[in-house]
Amino acid sequence: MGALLQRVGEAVDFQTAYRELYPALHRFVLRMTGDADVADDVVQEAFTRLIEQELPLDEAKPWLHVVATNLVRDRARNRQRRGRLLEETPLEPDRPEAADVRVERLERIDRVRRALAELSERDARMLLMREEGFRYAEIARVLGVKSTSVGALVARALKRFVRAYDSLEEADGTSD
Amino acid sequence: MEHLTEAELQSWLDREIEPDERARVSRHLEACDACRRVAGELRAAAERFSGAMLRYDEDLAAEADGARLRPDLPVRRRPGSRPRLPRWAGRAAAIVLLFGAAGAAAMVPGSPLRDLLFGPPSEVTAPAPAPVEVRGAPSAAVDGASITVRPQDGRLAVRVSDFAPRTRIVVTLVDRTVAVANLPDGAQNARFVVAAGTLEVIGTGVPAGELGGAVRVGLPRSLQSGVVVLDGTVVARVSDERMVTWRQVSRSGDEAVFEVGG
Repeated sequence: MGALLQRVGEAVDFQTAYRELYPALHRFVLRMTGDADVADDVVQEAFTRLIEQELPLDEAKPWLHVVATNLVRDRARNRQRRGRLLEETPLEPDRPEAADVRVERLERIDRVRRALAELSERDARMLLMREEGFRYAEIARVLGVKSTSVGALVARALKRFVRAYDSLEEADGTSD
Repeated sequence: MEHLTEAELQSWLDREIEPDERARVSRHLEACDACRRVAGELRAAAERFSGAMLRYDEDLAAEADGARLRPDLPVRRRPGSRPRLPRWAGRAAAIVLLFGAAGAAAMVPGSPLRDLLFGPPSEVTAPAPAPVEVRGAPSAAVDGASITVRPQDGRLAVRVSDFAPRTRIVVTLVDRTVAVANLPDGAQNARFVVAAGTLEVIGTGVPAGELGGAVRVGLPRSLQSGVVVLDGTVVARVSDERMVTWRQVSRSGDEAVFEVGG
């Protein structure tokens, strides 16, 4: 990979950006939405828009996250306009096979989504970006906060998530 | 004594402060029980979040796989989702075909494209003698200086925690189907805990200076999804036969070296 590492400031070629950035961006959107169909669509659309840009790799990464987040927001707004629920994915089991296993899995998914929903959108994005290896300076630039504030915001958001997650787990009477 | 703020501690844990400042925080932590406790809580919260996300990824992937594996039943579409292809599908398909062909060429060992993209194959260091191999789901603590673990459905999470500051962790991509972890000499109290799709390598505060080497983790290059979490922070991910790393001390080809905070 070393041979293809992009120099800072050099316009990225699309193939490199796709190869380097697709997995993390897909994971980010999937975690945000909990919906693999939405993640597939949003990430493809974001990369399609990247074709029109001439950005260095270090700028393409945060740019894609901003675009993907906006696309997720657009979808949520469109759905609301149509009077549909934002949390659209039904979580009742529809497969008879190993139903109990699936019920537990769906409950775990629901727990994470509810715990993430306890955070502001900014804080949820911040934790998910940190999880993808974004540095504080990049997070600050994307979220429009001071770089020196990110440490405190991360600490507060992590504690809030864990508090919510643990109490949901306790309420469900389960433990990982 | 003036205590450290959570912002300072979180930045220290995330290796987001300058070396001078980092040394100051480390010195303070050596002398201050209260701040050490807060740092431990922050680290535990980060590990909890990472753990929840890894499980979340696995659960979402299982849901998606389940939908694909049921051709006899209609895949549930969300209300309002479009049954037709989106406008950009043609371009996206062309992109996917292009990279699919490039990816296929890159998979061929010895192909020039593979060497161009990923560099020449790295040397694989053999694990310590007589490693313990653990398959299957039960969570269990495993003694010994070396272990191999089989991924579950192409997925494996390796969590390394509780080693002393400045302990080195070396993560390497290996051409094997199992993951390998080796403890250095002097880490007799460290242990492995294995569960389905996860391997925990837990140190016990043995001073790094007394360790005869580094903790070594070898991850199969063929992993569909691999992740290494060091004290609650994701530091490496493996997919598509490649490893992406963050916060490493050094990186050379398929080998990355990390250092426990402090």
